[in-house]
Amino acid sequence: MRKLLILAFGLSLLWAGQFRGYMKFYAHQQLVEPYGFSRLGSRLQLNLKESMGRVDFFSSMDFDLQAGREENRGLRLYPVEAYITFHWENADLRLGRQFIFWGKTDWINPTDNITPWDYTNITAEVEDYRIAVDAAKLDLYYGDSSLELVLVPFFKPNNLGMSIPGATEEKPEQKPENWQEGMRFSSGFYGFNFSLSYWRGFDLYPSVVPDMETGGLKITHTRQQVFGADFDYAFGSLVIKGEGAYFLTEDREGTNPLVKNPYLYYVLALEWAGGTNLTLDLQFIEKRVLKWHEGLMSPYEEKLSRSASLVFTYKKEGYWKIQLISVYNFKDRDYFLLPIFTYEIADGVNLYLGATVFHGPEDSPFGRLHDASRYFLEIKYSF
Amino acid sequence: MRRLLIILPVFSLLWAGNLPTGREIMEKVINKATWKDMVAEVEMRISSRGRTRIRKIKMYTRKRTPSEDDTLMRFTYPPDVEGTSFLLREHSKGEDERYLYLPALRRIRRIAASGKGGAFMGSDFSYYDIGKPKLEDWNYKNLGLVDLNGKKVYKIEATPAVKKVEKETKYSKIIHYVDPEKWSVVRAEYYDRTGALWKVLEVKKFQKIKGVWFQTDMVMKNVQSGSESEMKFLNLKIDQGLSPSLFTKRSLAK
Repeated sequence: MRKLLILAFGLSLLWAGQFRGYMKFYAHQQLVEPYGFSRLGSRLQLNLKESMGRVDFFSSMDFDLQAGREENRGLRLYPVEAYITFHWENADLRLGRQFIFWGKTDWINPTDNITPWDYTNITAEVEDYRIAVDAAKLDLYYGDSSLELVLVPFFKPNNLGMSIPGATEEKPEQKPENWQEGMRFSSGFYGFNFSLSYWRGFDLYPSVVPDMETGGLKITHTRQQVFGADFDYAFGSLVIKGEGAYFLTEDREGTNPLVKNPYLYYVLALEWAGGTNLTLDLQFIEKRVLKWHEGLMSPYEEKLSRSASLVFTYKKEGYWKIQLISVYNFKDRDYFLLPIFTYEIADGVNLYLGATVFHGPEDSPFGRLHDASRYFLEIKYSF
Repeated sequence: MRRLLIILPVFSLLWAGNLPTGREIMEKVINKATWKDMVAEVEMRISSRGRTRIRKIKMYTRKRTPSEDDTLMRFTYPPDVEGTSFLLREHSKGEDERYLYLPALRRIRRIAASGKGGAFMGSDFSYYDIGKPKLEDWNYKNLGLVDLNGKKVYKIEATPAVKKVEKETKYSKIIHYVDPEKWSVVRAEYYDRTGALWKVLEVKKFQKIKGVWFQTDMVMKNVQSGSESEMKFLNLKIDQGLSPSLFTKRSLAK
């Protein structure tokens, strides 16, 4: 698939109408031992866009030259996105590698289970820490309402950057029975917007279970169905947002300790804007495991877990911006921090200085990612 | 001569009695436009602390109802913000709807309905300055005809009709200078909430389209900070028959 996308990109160079992209220097140094550069290099991204009547083509290719860790060194060609979109009066069909995001809250989106995360590369840019999927997406429109139908034939999991010695990873086989699909209906009235969604796919997070054949451990991704809803409403300087989902796992009765139980996961958010410079977004997050049976539960599961997140942004448009993204889990007292300072050196030239901090007890969600903590410096020239 | 000196003030007093009221003048200024939709390329030059920034957008506006506009703005320069789009749906009753599409995030974000007093694209123009003011938001007083750059213009004092307007716009008073030939504001002085002069608007260029004068080159100076922003409207066209589908979230992310 990757070779096909690179070939498509090469051919599109011949007839591309608009050439855009950026050049970026980046240095990411670990905040924990051995304090090496987890990423050090330069990237040229070329974006090609061409429209021919009802058809658009878009391709984004990274040429990444790294000098950091040995396993990352060298030149890498990577198709970030490459898709073709067909437009009709009341429909759009997009085929190819693309980012598909669902949900209305910030950073934590229970209904967003399509595009995986790369937790080893959380920086200022979404395309660094989300991994585009190969998909077909059909959007049907009626007034301000829309119905989105998504099909993802090839499963891609989250990249947690962790390895378990001796454990083998078992990804879903690439066959039509394992295709993932879903739909999302969005509408609104009197300024109140909402969506209802359904997704049938695999858990992007891995489950570690005993391997009965080898006696060791194996990493699997179990099937799940996600019934979701979200909304937003704005009044004055406030925006209220909410998003929740019911996860129906394969262990419907909660009797199999090797498979996650069904659970509810929801986020309530209140965003306040102090003019156009300052925004504060406070979110309350709760995950409630259903069909709980004492003694039959995985040690990794919590019956009830609560978290809070805060996103603070202050900017002097055209000059600089400070942003702090934080998530705190009440039970384990583990947290994630992502402060970013952006300075606009000139039109189209930006400097990013920030850090990704995971902290908490070793067996807590963020504590497990502690080794991925780092600070980063990036200079980007867009053209 | 002595008789003439007595007669002149009397005549001027009589004439002053026939002066249109501040509200009548501003009504002509605000409601003169009969266009249904408008398209323009907007170029903004923002100068502050010795540095100059350029911002370019394509702006589409339509009148959904006589008192409600829809506006779509697509940022085209600089390259790092290209593709960013902003959709505003005004509601005469209830809150305005505002949506922002950031291509870097690939998401449409709902943003707070208020914030009219905030800087538009980081310039010295606020969102309120570039929008269509609501006549009933202000109390107007005609301070008479004055001389401005060799031309007689009406000097109108506008004060917020309610506290909410002052809070939202951050203006305690605006002095408008209105050209009675064009029925357009040619200069405006904005006072902050402490009553101090804050910003001065000078209109450098007008364009007459279908009998209506449009301001196409404006400079806003912040006299307190020393910064200055110039906004130019290029290729301004009206009544292009813009489709209502242009002012939807679908269009925002295109």
